[in-house]
Amino acid sequence: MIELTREQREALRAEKPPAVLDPGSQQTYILVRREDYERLEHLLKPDNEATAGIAPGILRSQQAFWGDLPELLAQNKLRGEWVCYYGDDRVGIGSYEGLIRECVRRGLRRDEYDLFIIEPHARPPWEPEEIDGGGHEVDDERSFDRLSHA
Amino acid sequence: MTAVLRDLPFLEVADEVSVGRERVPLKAYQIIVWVSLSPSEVLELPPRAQCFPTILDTGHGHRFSIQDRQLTQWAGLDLRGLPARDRLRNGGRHVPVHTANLWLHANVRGKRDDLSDSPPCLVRLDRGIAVYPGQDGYPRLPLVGLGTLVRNGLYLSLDPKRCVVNRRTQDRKTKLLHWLR
Repeated sequence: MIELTREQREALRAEKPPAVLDPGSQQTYILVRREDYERLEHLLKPDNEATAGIAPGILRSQQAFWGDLPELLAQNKLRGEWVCYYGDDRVGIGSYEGLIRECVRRGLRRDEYDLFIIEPHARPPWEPEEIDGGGHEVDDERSFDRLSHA
Repeated sequence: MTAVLRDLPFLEVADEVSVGRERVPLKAYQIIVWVSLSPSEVLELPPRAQCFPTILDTGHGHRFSIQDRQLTQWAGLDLRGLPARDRLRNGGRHVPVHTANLWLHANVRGKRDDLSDSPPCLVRLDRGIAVYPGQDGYPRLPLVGLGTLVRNGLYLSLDPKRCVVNRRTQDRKTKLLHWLR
């Protein structure tokens, strides 16, 4: 671990976000606190646990959609429409069936593209959603009564 | 407007439903709808596509959930043909979510397990299908969540006196009322 000198600490305090230059490579680094980095780490690693198992082409399409979403939402007339991405490329905006037909016409494999509804999303498409599975079953009315009066 | 489910009955007592050679017990009040699955690039369901019963579960938080065994044996699909697009967490466990199209079969009016000759209705699954490993036995029957109806603009009505449900697409009157609000 590199320890900062007092002068460096003071220099870093003056700059937000603090940047460090390697004079040999001319590479600039942005310093962030460890806690902040750990919060952002999953966004920097597309192959982390949250995205494990997702087809790479679909993941790239999801990341492109997520990047474009603010711009798409800014156009009210697009809300509720479907949009399709093939990696970084937007295939089009329109009906679900029309977009699928276009992907088939282009000879795209299904693991290379993905479709989304243009609407506010609470989280990126590749992040696991927490759900309640439902399907809670009871055998009959008597067991339901027992549960109700427990 | 297209009526998809016509006076579909549900029972107030336990029952069972047949899937191929399997007989699956049903609990009271479970609404059974017959569906098919296909890869999402399939936009016309082949006539010989397998159909199977599901529970319409308004408390289910995902669009559609199925066991991997049911996907193979009941839906006749190979998971390798349905790319993974996401994962979800259910009770702390991760479950893979795959791309697919859902097809809803219309019933013969008043009959739960008799299917009409009309073509099945494509139900677009914006969040894919959750495929659970079969060893847990969950879900006992595949589950169709309320979000699936909402996202496809399907209307559901329940008649408690006759114990039937009806499901349809938006009609002109509903469109007009929605526009006037």
